[in-house]
Amino acid sequence: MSKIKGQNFRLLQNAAAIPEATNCSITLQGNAEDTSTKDTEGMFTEETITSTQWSAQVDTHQSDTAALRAIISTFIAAQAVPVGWDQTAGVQNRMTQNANFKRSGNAILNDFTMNFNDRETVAVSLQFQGSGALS
Amino acid sequence: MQKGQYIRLLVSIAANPSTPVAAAKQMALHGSAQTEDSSTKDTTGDALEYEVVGQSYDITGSGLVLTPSDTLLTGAVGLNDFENWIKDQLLNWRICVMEGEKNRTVVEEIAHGQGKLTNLQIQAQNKQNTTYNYTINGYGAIVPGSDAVSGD
Repeated sequence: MSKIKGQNFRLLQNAAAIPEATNCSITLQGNAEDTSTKDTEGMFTEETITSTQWSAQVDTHQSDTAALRAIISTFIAAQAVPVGWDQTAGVQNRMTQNANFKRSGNAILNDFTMNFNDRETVAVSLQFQGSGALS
Repeated sequence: MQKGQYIRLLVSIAANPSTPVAAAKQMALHGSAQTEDSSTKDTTGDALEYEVVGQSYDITGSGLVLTPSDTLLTGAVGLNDFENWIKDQLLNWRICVMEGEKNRTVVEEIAHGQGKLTNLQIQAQNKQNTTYNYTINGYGAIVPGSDAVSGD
């Protein structure tokens, strides 16, 4: 078995691994509509995927002030930016491996939280709303 | 990695505030964008496309309640200030990297903007320090800071 550890599965922004990440989660969703009718026999629904959407979330310890300002600027710009994910390896686990599950698309930074708590490291959470298809 | 105690909220009625929240424990900046499905029949494929139609942000934090004579309140803000601001009072805020004695010397600004205090809660539990939590809702845009800091 060749398992991939979490540190080697990274969210990418502008084709580069988002630095100092501790966790990421990705959601692909098919929005289903019950298309069963009176012609459908029995009690069960029959689902049709009418649209798809995706989102990605990452928790980081980014604390470089330039990086924090860049996050705010990306949020203010309200424009989709290239976001994707891939298996990574090498120095700082940042070299993308072009794994066959690699995906990329455009997404809007639609939510961020920067936590500045006394006697704790800075913690930043980013949430991207995919806009358009993944390739 | 940067530690949270070196990044502080400075807030006041005056522009370009230089008064940090005294005895602060926590502080967070949270931004949220309202998106709308902008895909149409002209959109190829099944994937939804989104556009941002609104943006908002808030700053939340907490601090210890100090006696009014506490020297930590000199050049800083505390519960009394927040109590006076819980009305339609426009506040100016800055989030800055700070250093030096009591971490009160501004090194660099991360962002600034304006907001209104919308929530203030005081917690006084037996045998524990009295604390307060505040929420400042953003008024207008967040402005990313620059390396150059003026007015300090």
